[in-house]
Amino acid sequence: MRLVQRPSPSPLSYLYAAAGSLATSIAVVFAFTGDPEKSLQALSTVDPWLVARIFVIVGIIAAASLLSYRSGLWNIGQEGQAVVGALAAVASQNPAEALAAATAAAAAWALAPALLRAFAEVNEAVTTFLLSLAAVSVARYFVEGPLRDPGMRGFIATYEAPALSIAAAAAIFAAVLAGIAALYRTRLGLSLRLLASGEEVVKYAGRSPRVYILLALLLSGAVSGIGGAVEIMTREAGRYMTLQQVSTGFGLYGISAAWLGALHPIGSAAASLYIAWLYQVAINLKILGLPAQVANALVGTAMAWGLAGYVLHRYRVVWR
Amino acid sequence: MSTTRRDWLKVVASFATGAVLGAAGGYYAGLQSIKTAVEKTTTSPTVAEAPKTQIGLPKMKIHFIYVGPVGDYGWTYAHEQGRIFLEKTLCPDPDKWCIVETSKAEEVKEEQAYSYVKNAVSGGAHMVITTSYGFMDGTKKAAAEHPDRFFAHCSGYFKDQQEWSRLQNFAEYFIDLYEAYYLNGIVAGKMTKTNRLGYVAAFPKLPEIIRHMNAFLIGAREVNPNVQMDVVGLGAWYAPENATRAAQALVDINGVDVLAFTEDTPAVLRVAEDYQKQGKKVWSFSHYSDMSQYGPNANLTGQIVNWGPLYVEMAIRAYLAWISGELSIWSEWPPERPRDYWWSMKNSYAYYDYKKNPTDILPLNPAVPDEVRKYVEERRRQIIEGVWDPFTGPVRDMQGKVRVPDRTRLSKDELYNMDWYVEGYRQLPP
Repeated sequence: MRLVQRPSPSPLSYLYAAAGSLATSIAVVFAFTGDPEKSLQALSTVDPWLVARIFVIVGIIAAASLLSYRSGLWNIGQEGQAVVGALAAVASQNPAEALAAATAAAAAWALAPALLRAFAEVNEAVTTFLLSLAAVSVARYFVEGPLRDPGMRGFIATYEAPALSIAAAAAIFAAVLAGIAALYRTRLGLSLRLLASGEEVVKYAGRSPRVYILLALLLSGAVSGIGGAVEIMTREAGRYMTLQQVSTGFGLYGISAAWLGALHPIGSAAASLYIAWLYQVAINLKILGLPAQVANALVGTAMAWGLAGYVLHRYRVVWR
Repeated sequence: MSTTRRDWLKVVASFATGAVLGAAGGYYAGLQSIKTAVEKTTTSPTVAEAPKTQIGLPKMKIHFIYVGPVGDYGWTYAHEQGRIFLEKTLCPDPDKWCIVETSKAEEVKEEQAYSYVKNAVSGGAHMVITTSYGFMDGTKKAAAEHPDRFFAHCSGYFKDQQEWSRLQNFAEYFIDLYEAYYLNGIVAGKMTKTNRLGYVAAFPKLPEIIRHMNAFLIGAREVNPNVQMDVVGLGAWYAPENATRAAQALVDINGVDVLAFTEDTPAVLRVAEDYQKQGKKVWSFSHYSDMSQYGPNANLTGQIVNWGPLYVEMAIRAYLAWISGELSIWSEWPPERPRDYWWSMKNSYAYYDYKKNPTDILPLNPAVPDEVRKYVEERRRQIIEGVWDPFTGPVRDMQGKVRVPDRTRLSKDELYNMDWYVEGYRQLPP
């Protein structure tokens, strides 16, 4: 078996990938419940509020991811940038301030990898990933110290972040998507996308690739930060961070949605909705008493299918 | 609602709890008394819909929500053992003698608590038990929305009196290990040759862990005033690699020969066992469950917890309140602090049986000399009987300030919010 580059990319491959992921998920659910009625229950029980919330969070982080991947840059530190954004939200008094603070803080968090990539050619995948581990330690410092709520008695947790309604969160998501669509129609956006074809291409276009590398990574980081802030502010209960649970795992889901959605704003939004549904199925499975690993693996397989779609988009498989 | 019926149900609750948890073979006596209660009390609508056994006992669905995986050998593992104990005790014969049906969801993220609780309730659960601090607000919110169901949350608190009286169907519970740590400390103080103890702590600034470290050190210094203790923090409940490295550093660099820890794996005990195999006497303990298989030579004793009996008591109370509609059976218990179970060794049912006490120490390692054994057993009995407490004054903090005056004890809140360190620490994390 080998891969042969297609003369022209095949957008159909993403549809196949989505279908494949759906088939895998349904098969996994059937295999582990071993009962059609239970499977149907696991697949069809939906809490619209929960799905809407996960959809918006994953969607925003998917948008952040595609801002980086469309420029050929590998930001995989969305989780850390989201944690920093959530921390900024916790430190704020109202949602508007929280969003501004989260944007600034997460962009600042992405600044170091962006500078290192632009000026020292340090691989951004490594630095962003390592910084997302560092974000957990930084967040713990704030949870234990400056942001600790003394009113929590014998527990160490932060103050509560301001509350944000799901409708407002959806509006923010729509604004992010519209912003990306508008950006990619400008000259600036064109140069950002050109970066994916190689730094030389940008150079030949008479522009400095460094500026665009910086911009792409900072934008990606900032939008991830918004995702983190929206996550903590839309919780129905417990809008604070505890020492035990700083990271929420939405970074990975966002990356999965971006790949599964063909790195297209609309596509990744659709994929986010699909992942939100998988998330609900995972919850249903856990409530049915299935091992957590099975439930968690569902979203993992979605990511694998997304990457498969990306590969098949450009290459075709030759079996001989 | 006659007062006599309510009083009678309260007697049934106490009797049934005592019977199923006490002597062997008490299962049926306890369940029989519950069956009589079912027959004599009018039932509420959710009881009518519930599945029943052949002899007409309605089954109450209890759903557990865990923060970790059930196989982690720590916190969630212990709760899962409690759930299994509950099911075995109150459902010995699923077709006939059975009043509960339990289910669980593991590895639930803290911020999703509310969704899980809501889902469990719409799936028919009559009682939901959540076992992580971060689940507190979500569980309370669901409790307020479903006054006809029962909720119990582990390791939280009521914000104020109003919240407490508003959430009649909601209880807080916790089992604390400080007395067991104190007894472990006595053994450590007697067994150390270097007079240096080490403590590997998940979160050394968490009041719960400060309390445990302090109690451990108080025990050690009670029998050996020359003892000093060094602490290393991990920043995670589950961190076997870091715990291993920390334990090795404490032994090799700080000269520690007894290692206590609060971490969800037997990593530290394994380190001690490795030294024992190399001929160096380094000791450690079991934490949370019996870990002696990981350190048969190095395991001095340990602090273990049995959630089962507490779950049985809460389930029986909730069950009787559920079938009769008499909420007070549930809401006015335990009498000293209603709906706020803060259990420790003092709340032992089957005195001196370490497998049934809410928390206890394991039988001591054969290497422990007899006079130490005798002293530990004496203190253990005094604690179970309530005549001794590790934090009995005078207790001074590191600065020499008296924190517990002579002949007094600390209240629950003072224990719960402990943010000071007793004298005797040599090295604390910054």
